[in-house]
Amino acid sequence: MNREEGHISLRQGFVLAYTVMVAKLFLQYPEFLVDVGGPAGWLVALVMTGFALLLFLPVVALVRRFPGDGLAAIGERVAGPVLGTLITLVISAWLFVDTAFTVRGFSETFLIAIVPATPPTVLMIVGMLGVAYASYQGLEAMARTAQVLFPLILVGTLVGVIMDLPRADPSRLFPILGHGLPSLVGGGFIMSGMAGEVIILLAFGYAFRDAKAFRSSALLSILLFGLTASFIVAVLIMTFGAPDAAQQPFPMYRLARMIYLGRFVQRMESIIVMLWFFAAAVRVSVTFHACVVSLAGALRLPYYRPLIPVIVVLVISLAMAPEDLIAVLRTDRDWIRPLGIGIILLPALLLVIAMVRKKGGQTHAA
Amino acid sequence: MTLWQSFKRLMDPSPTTLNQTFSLGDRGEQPVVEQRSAERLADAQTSAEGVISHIDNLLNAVPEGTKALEEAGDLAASLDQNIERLKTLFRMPANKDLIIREVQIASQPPTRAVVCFMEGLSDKMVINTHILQPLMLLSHLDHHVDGKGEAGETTFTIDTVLQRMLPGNQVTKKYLMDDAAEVLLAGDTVIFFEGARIALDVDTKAPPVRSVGRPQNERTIQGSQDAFVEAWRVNVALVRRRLKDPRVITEILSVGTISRNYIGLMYIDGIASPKLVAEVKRRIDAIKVDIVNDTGVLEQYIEDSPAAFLPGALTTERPDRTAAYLSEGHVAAFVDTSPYALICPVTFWSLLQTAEDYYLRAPYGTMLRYIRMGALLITLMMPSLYIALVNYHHEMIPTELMLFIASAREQVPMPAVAELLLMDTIFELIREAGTRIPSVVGPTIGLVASLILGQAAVEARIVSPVLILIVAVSGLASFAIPNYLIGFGVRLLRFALLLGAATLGFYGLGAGLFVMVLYLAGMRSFGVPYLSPVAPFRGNARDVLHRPPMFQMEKRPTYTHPLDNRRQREVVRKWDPITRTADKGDEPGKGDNS
Repeated sequence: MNREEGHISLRQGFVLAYTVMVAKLFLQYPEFLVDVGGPAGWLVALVMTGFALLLFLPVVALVRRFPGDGLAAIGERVAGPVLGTLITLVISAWLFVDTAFTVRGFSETFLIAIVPATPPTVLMIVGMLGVAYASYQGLEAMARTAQVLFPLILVGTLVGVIMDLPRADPSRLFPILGHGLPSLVGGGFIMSGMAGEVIILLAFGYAFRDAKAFRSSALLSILLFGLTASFIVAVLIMTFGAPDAAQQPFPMYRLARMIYLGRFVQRMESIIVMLWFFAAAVRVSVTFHACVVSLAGALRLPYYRPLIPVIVVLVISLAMAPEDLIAVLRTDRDWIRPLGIGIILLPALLLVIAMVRKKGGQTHAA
Repeated sequence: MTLWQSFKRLMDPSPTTLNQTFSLGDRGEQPVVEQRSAERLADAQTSAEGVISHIDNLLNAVPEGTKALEEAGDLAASLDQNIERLKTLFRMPANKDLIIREVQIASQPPTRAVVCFMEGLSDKMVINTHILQPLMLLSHLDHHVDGKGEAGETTFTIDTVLQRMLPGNQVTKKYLMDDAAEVLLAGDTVIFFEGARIALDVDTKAPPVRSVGRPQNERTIQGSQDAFVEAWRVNVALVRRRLKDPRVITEILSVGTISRNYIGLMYIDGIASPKLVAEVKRRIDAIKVDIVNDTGVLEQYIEDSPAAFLPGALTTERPDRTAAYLSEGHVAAFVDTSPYALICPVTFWSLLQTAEDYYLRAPYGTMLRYIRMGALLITLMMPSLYIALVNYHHEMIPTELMLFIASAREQVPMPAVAELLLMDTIFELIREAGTRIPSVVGPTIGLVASLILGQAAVEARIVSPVLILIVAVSGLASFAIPNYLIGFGVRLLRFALLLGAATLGFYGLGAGLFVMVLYLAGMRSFGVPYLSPVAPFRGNARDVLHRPPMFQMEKRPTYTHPLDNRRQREVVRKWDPITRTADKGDEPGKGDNS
C-alpha cells in the first residue's frame, strides 16, 4: 500500500522532520525551555538535543534491521500481529493527539496575531481541509512542498529573531548555568520529548531508499532543530530577560511584533505569521499523514485515503475539546511532551524484541 | 407569397415555422434511411472486393515464398476494378478533388495506366514533367520496356518503371488500397497499371504552406528569428538544421480517423531516455479519435492531467528552443498543420524561461529570470495582498499611506474585493477583446478602453485610484510571463487566492498558497515531477532561476534521465587560467595557449 507513495530522499526527510520540529518554536515551547532553565534556557535546548539524539539511536538501529519498512510493518514483523499492532496504534494515537493540539495551538496563535475576529473553528476547519488535501496527495507531494516552502519557513523562523538582535543584551544570559546543573540536565531530559515528532520518519520508513538516508535525515534534523531552538531561546532571553521570557505564551510572536528597522520595516508580524502558517501546515500535514498511514498499516487496510475524512473530523473534534488556550498549554506540557519520550522509546522496545527474536539483520542495512 | 398567404400564416395558431422551412431534424423526422443504407452497402461492397482480392493475392503468393506473401496486397490485376474501388472510396463523382488521368505508356504494345492525385495538394509541375512526360513520351526510347503479353496478361515490370521511367526522388510501391488512399490524401501521386497488383507512389506533395516567418509569441531581441510553420516537415528541417547529428531521429506517427494527421516525433538516440520515448509513442498510439489538428489538441490527449491548471507539456514556436530541449534529452512532437512543437516532459521552471536567457550573458539572463519570477508573484499575489492588507491587516501599512488609501476609498460605495473583481473582470474583457478584434484597431481599442474605463470608473467613484494601480500592475506583470498557457493558469489561480484573502486575510492567502504548492508538487509531466529540479532537488539544479555561465553548465538536467549526462567537458575554457586550474587533470602551464 504505502510503497505506492514513492520515495523520499535524505534531503526531503531532513526538511520534513526539521520543519515538523521547528514549527513548534512558534508556539509556547521556547517559554517551556526558559521556564526549565532560566537564563540557561538555550543550554537546556542543547542538552535536550543531546538526549534526543541518544534516544533516537535505537530507532536508527531498528530501521537498519528493516530497511524499506515503515512503523506498522516493522511492528508486525518484530512483535507479531498483536503486540506489534498495539505499539503502532499507541504511536498513531500519540501522533493523533499531537496533531489535534497543534491545530488548536496554531489556531489560537493565528487568532491572536492576524485574524482576531474569526471564530477558531473556522480556522481549524479551513486548515484541516488543506491538511486533508496534503494527505490525499501523499508523502511525495508533501515532501516536495516542504522543500519548496523551506526557504520561506527559514526566513519566517530566523528573520524575526535576527531583526530583534539590536535590542539583545548578552548580560541577560548570566548566570550561565541558570538554575544550576541538575535542572539543566533534568530539564534537558524531560524536554527531549520535544523531538518526539521525529518518529514520523519511522512511520515513513517505507519511503526511504536506504537506512543511511533515514539515519542521516533523522539525526541531522534533530541536531539542527536543537541548534535553532537554542539560538531562538538565547535571543529571547537576551531581549526580554529570563523572568519575562518565561511568561510569554507566544514569545516568537512578541519578537516579531517588536521589529522596528526604520519607518517602513515595522509591524511585520502579519507577514511573518503567514510564513509560520507554511511551517504549521507542513507540520500538521506530516504528523496527520504519519498517523493515518500508521493506522492504516495497523488495521491492515489496503488504502489509507478512506481514513482521511474520519481522522480529520476526529482531529477537529479533539482540537475543540480544550476549554481555552491555557488548557491546551498545560496538556501539552504535562502530558504530550513527556509521553513523547516514551514514543521515542517504544521503537527501542521493538529493537530489543527484534534482537531477542533475531528478526531482521545487518545484512539488509545500507 | 400573396397577401392572403401572409395573413393566413400570421393567423395560424399551431406552427411557429412553416412546414416548408428547412430543418435538420428538430421536428422529429426520421433520418434518410435509404441513403444511409445505400452508402453502407457501397462501403461494404468495396471492402468485400478488397478482402476477396487480398485473399486471392495471398493464395497466389503462397508458392512464391515469404517475400511475396509480405507484398501481397488487396489491389486487383484489373485496372478498371482498382479505379472503381478508388472512386467508391473517394465518393466520386460527388467529390471533385481526386483527379484521375488515364494514360497509355509508350511501350510496345502500349500499356494502360492511371495517374491519380489530389487537386491542390500536389505539385502539378512535378506531375507533368516527372510522371506524365516520361511515361507518355519518353518511355518508348527505352527498348527494355516492352510489354510482352502472354495469355492476355502483361508482364510489364513495375520495377523497370520505378527504376528507369520515373525520375521522382521518392517513389515507393503500394500494395493496399488504403495505403494508396492515405498517400494520395497527403499529396502524393499514385499510378495504377493494367495487369499489376502494385501501385506506385510518387512524392509530389506541395500543400499550401506559408513561408518561414518570425515568432509571434516568443519574440527575442537576440537569437534566431525564424519560427515554425504549418508544415511539419519544414519544422523538422528547421530543427535538423541546428542538430547536425545522425543520431537525431524523426519517427512518423499518424492520428485521427478522419484527419489522419502526421505526428513527427523527434528525439536524439543516445541522449533521450528510451522509456520516455516509448511512453510518448504509447500515449500517441492510444489516441483513437476522429481529428487531431493541433499540438494543443494532442497535448490534451497525452498529458498526465488534462484538467490541470498548468500545461503538461511545453509548446514552442521556436526551432532553436526545440533543438536545445532535444539536446537535453526531451522528446518533441510536431503535428502537421500546427506551427508549434510539443516538448515532453515539461517542468514548472521551464515555463518561465525563454530562449533569450541563454543568448544573453549570464548576469543579464539571470536578471531577466528574476524579473519574470517577480512578475509571476505580482500577478498571482498582488490583488490578494492588497485585499488582505486593506481588509484585515491595516497595521502593516505605514500611516500616511493608509490615510491616503482610506481617503481614496472613502467615497467608493463597494467593498474592496468587489471593486477588484469588477476591475479584474473588465481587464480580462479588454484583453480578450483586444485579441479578437482586427489587429489594426486592436491595440488602439484596448488602450482607449483601458484609459477611458479606468478614468471613468474612478470619476464615477465606483473604484479607487489605488485599485486601478493594483489591477494595472498585476495585469502588466501577467504579460511578462513568457508562456501563454501558464499565463492562463496563473490568472485562474489568482482568483482562488483572492477568495482566500478576502475571507481570511493572510491566513486564507497562506492556505491558498500552501494548497497551490501542494497541487504543483503532486503534478507530473510524463513521469517527471512538475517542480523538478527544485523539488525533488537534483544535484545540478542551478539552471532554474539563476542562469549560470555557459561554461559551468556541464551536465544535462537529470530529471529527464538522459542516457548521456554530460554535455560539455569539465573545463571548456582551457586557456583561462582561473577555470583551467579547477581541472585537476590539467597542470598549470599546459593549456592550449601556454
